[in-house]
Amino acid sequence: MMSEDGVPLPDPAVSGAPQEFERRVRSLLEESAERLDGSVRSRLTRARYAALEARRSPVRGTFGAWLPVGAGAVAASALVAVALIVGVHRGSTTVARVSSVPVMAAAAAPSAPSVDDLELIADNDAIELPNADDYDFYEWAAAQPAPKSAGEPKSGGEEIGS
Amino acid sequence: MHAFVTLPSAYSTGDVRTESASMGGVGTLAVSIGGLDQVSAPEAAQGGRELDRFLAGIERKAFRIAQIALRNEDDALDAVQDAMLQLVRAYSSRPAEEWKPLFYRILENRIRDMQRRRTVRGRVMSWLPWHATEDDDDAQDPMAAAPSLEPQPLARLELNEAMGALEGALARLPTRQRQAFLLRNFEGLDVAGTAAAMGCSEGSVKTHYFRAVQQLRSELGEFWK
Repeated sequence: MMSEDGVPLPDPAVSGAPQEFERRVRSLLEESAERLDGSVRSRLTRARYAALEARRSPVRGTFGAWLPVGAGAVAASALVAVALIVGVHRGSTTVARVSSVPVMAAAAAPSAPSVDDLELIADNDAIELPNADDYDFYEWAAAQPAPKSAGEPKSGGEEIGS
Repeated sequence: MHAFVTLPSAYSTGDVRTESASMGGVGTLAVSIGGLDQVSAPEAAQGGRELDRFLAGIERKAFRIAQIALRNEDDALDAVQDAMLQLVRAYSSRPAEEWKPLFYRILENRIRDMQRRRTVRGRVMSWLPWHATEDDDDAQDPMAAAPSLEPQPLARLELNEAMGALEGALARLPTRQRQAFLLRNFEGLDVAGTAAAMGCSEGSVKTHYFRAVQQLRSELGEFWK
């Protein structure tokens, strides 16, 4: 008789030695199982009762098994939404307040953009950084006194037409 | 990583695939719990008694098999308890003759998971500067490990010595050989049942078993001469 990979297997009818050896090993193992101490036997009995008790307890079906997963996902989504809303509002009003709320620190850190900031960054036409050639003009404009409100033009159209 | 395998032949769980997960691994997701809702109270009580008898009949051998593999009493008890729980929850409605291969399939998965976890934990602990201290804490009490001074019958001493040698030799066997030998020789499963419990072919079971016997004979020959 040969095994799958060509190893010859002993024929129990011909070779009695392996059978005797196996019997002795088996008897030794069985004796060790019978001689287990009382604490182990007690713990095994308790484990068995616990398993059987689980069978008697109410069984949740497939829907029940998935219910905690769904509830967890909804709770996590709600938490993220609240964190974003709170963070955005606090970031747009005052930095001092958000820094006093450590739980929301990640969402409402001073660097967290407000809604206005996000719109500004998203709008390419709304921001125009000065060119290097225009620095003199901006310095001059900043040095000028603020115009009086009564003298301000009401609209660009009137200024052009005047 | 999860390794999905299917039970062969008569022990197949149908559309439920087995998974070597932390629970010891059989069908942890979306498993129909044995149709318990459909059985009557007397049938359930009868099934409970059958299960009780089955578990009571295998618990000691199952514990010894787990203990030899894990070399730890508490871990072995945990593994057996997990396997009992998993069998009862997921497969109690299966025919009783399938329980034993299923139970040992679960138990072997659980043992493998615990061995893997122990390996990973050892790897992680070796990186920690204080792992030597924790090892010291886990070490057994040397007084408890010392041999008893009470006089023991010679036969008992010889038996203990032989048992220690056998356990050591079994622990040194490759996993598959140890599984095949213990399930066939100690638990008394037939080749088909052993193949179902191990998730391999019957030919592989014969090969593993034969090699295990050869190895054990070469190591233990002196104890049985």
